Amino acid sequence: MAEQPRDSELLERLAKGDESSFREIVQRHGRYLFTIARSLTNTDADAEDVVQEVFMALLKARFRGESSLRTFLVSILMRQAALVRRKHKPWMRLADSEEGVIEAQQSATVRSEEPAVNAKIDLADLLKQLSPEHREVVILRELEGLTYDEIAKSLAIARGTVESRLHRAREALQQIATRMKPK
Amino acid sequence: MNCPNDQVLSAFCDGELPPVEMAQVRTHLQGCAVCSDVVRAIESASTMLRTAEWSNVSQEMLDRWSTAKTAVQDRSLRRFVGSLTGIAASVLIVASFARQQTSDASSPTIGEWEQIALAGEDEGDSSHVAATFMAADLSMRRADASSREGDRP
Repeated sequence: MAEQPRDSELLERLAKGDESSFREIVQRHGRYLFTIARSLTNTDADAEDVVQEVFMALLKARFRGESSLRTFLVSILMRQAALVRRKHKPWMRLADSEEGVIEAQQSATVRSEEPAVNAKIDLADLLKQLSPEHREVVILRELEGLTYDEIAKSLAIARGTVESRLHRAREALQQIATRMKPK
Repeated sequence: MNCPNDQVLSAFCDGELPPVEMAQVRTHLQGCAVCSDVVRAIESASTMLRTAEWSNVSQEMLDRWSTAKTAVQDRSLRRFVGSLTGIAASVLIVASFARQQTSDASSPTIGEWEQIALAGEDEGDSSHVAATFMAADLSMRRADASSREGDRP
């Protein structure tokens, strides 16, 4: 089987005007980005728009290879999702509030009552149960593997804040895991 | 070493403690079941996140995202054409203004004194008549100019 080209190769080809490489980047990262976007926005339509904006930004932005392409795309996505949240503030208030988190937790609890074989956890639903601040640090640390310093720089917060948010996010995740365990 | 707090254990799991502290926690964990449980719980939360399912995406959605490139190109083209139109409109306005100014300067309305002077050529002492009206016309223009000065705030 032919080896898949690396992201850096695709980007080089894209810079030379190769249309197919862009399609390949979308195919490769679209699903993951949509999952993260769903966890950071309120509707699937918003999530789809955010991902579209991320890919458009990739065409305009200059990727300097300081991180993986996926991490670069996720950091654009977080900014775009924040813009969407600000635009739909009355809507988002629910998702960002305690009630919104509780609602997401209840919906996930219902899912966990399904038979264990079907009890696949959806990453977006799982992340939605965390507060927005916790979601961001968890995505960057657990899924993107950034160091505390890199997260602090990316979110413009202190390293100590990263540590404490991550700690609290993990506590919340442990509670979620306990609730979701099939009885 | 006393039991480290959970935040320290969380940083330990991420390898974010200074090397000396990393070694101390590692040694502590060998003899502390409580802290070992905390570390296991942190690790299982990580596993839960990394193994969770990604949301489904339809092929149509992927196709729409793939056309983002065309959308960007269209948008850039529209922006370029828009800028050109703006520049062309500015040039047109400036040119028509300049033309108006030039035509004002090069073809002034024929003064009353000129008309009389021209008419007087046929009647004889035209230079005297022309000079009289020229002086009158000039004083009128001066009066106009000074009244305009006076109107300015």
